[in-house]
Amino acid sequence: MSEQLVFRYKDDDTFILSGMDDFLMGLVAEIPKAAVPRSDASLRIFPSPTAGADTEADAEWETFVKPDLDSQFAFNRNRVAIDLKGVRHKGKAGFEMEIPAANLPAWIHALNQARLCLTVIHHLGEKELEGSARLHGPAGIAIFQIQFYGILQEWMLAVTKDI
Amino acid sequence: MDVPEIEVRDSVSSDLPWNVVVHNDPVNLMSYVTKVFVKVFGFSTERANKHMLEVHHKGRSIVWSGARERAEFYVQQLHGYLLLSTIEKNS
Repeated sequence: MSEQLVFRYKDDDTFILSGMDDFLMGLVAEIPKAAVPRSDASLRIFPSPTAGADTEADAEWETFVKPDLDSQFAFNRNRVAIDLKGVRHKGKAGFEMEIPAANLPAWIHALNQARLCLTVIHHLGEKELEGSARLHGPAGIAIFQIQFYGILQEWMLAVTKDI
Repeated sequence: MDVPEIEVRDSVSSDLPWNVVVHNDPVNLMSYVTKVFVKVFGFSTERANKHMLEVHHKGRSIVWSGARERAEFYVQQLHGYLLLSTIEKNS
């Protein structure tokens, strides 16, 4: 077990995420993959702009807007994946990585994408996410993962003025 | 001179009643939603917070009303931030 998970300033342009043990590092490394809208998650990541009330408008949205959103979401995932290539192992202090301040919005959005996708894929609702339901196995791990990503998101939001 | 002015008003008023509605979901962080409202609509933090709390407690909030084209633009922005939002005709 590592000493302490820390997110801190290195300098004006860079943050450091450190103190990750194997398990937490695994979860962080999984952000780009978890954020890909697979199967049912696609419906949440690309919802109807009219809630299905205007099928013609929905079809136009699918053609003209969805590709732009898809590119935007892929950009966020790729930016995180690039930063993850800089992960270093610091012995007993666990894993550490630098995150450029300019990339924080991409991290915040990729974390959000991942949290939303995991929620849909594991059929989690408000009750489960608030911890009032006892879950084991993949759904239980997914809840931990969603909450851990939420903590990272909160830390990054706290130091980011412009998202 | 009066005629074009009347036409403009008619044109605008016939396209006005569209609401941008943000719906609650259990995943988006409250601090995140507030920042998105500030970014997309230029709201003050207080106003953004008020709408965020309305979404959280009432399940939805009308965050903007006006012409359909502009409403669609805002919904696209909100979808870009993964907020569950729709346009609705104001009945």
